[in-house]
Amino acid sequence: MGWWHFLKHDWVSMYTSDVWVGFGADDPLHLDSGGTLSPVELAYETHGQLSPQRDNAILICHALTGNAHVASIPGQPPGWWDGVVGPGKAIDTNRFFVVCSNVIGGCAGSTGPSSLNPHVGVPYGIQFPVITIGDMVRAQHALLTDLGIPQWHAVIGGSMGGMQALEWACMYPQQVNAVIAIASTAKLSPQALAFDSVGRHAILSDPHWNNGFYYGLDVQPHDGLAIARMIGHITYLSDEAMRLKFGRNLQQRPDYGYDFNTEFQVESYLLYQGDKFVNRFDANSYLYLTKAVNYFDLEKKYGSLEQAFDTSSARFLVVSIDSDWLYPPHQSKELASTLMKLNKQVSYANLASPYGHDAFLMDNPPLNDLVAAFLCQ
Amino acid sequence: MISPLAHWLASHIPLGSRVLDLGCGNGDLLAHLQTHKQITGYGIDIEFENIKTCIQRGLAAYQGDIDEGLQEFGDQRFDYVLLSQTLQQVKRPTNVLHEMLRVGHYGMVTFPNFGYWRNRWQLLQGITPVTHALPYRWDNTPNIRVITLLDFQAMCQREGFNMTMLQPDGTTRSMGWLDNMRCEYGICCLSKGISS
Repeated sequence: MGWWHFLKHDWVSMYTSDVWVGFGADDPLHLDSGGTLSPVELAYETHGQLSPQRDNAILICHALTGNAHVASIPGQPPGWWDGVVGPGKAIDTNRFFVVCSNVIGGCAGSTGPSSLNPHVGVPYGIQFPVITIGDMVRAQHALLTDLGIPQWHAVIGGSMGGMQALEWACMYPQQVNAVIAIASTAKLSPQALAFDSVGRHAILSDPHWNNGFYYGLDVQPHDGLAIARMIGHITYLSDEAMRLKFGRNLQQRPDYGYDFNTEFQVESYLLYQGDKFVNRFDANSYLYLTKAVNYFDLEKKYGSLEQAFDTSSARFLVVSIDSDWLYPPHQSKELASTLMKLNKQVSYANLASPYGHDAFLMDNPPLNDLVAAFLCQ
Repeated sequence: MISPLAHWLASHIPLGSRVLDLGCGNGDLLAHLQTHKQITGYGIDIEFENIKTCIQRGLAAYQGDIDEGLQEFGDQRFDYVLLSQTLQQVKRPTNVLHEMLRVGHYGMVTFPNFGYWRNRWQLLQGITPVTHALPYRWDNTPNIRVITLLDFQAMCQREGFNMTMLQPDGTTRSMGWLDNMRCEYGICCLSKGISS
């Protein structure tokens, strides 16, 4: 039964987020690719109250396949970071005004490839421009301005969310007081690029992907997307996590069937994850978002990591997970080292967990304590 | 409350110094220095729990192994680099000391002096010393080496470090001939170059 352990973090899309609309035709969102996007909708949720001084706002940035539903109130389906965000929790909504928005390019309410292209009246598909982490942040910045918040008390994220948090500090150095980047990096390793590439190839080679124009059709590129998700899940877990949770156990049969049915628990887990994923995620969004993560490279963008963070006035908490081989600790260390070279107020911790990259989304009291301690300063 | 030893070190650190504390533990010394000497700087410790405690106290701390070097830091980044009660636990002590003096002007080192008379007395009785400064039994000690003040002085000469003894009143002096016998701790300041 071990693998059920991994399922408790999933949600059902039955919450409602607010939708912000901006970047009209005369003021489009200018993208790093040189293109533009207009209009831009952002699905977002808020928790807690903005203080009269407007100084208690925290932006939480979600990871690759996340959404704006970061925390739930009674009666709602669980939020993806319910263990961390809420009244009296590490990110205490009695104290902080928490904002979480779905990234552009996603498929959970914000403008993405499955949104209607207003110029032609059909979904964008792959006519949607390629976006970057910087573009996501630029869109979030417009939301910040519209909410009337002068600066974030903190920007917090794990994995791709951590990339956004870091990019926030680089792009808007005076509007971010603190950054928490968990299991993140200033640029992905070639190994991580490789896994994302295989995931995209799985989608691109699915005949039902149909060059990205499958919206409204009977058949969807579910096989390709499910394989991409299965590959993703392999990279989110560590060798040890798989050994602990599945071992070589067989799912249903007492012994080998000598056929090609699903037998091992680990196979069954991956298939389950793949199947579940296709019902809530768009294949094109997966292409766009992995591309954004792959392009993310603060060194390339700013000349060097030092230059990237030079003008930031934020304090930083960088956290890695010791068994995370997708966003390995040495990348977080390099980030923290650079910030120390720049004399920034920075702390770095390497969390012990056997669960690999996934650990940042799991119930993890030491991580919660660390986040709470940092925010209390 | 900080230990008398930490107090002793703190008395030697001028207001507003840039300080790096190696093996900072729960951040007692750094917190004291931040409050009373308005220092800026970082703590480094290998234990997650210690990093957490430091963050809770508003200190900047980095979880790392000082034996791996201090590549994070440029040359002469700090005024003082502290290594308090940690030297006896590092794998490559001379490397660590050289790194300390690369990234800082002064290195302040404290260690339990194995040449202290009580240690010698217990050794004479045929037992491994257990004292206030060396509180562990042989089978549960985290210390991987024993150091006497004389050993330390000889090493400093070999490695080209200037070494002075730090006094509890904030002054310094050179090592005297009885020190190795009467000091429970080595409490020393290291520097490179002509004067110390």
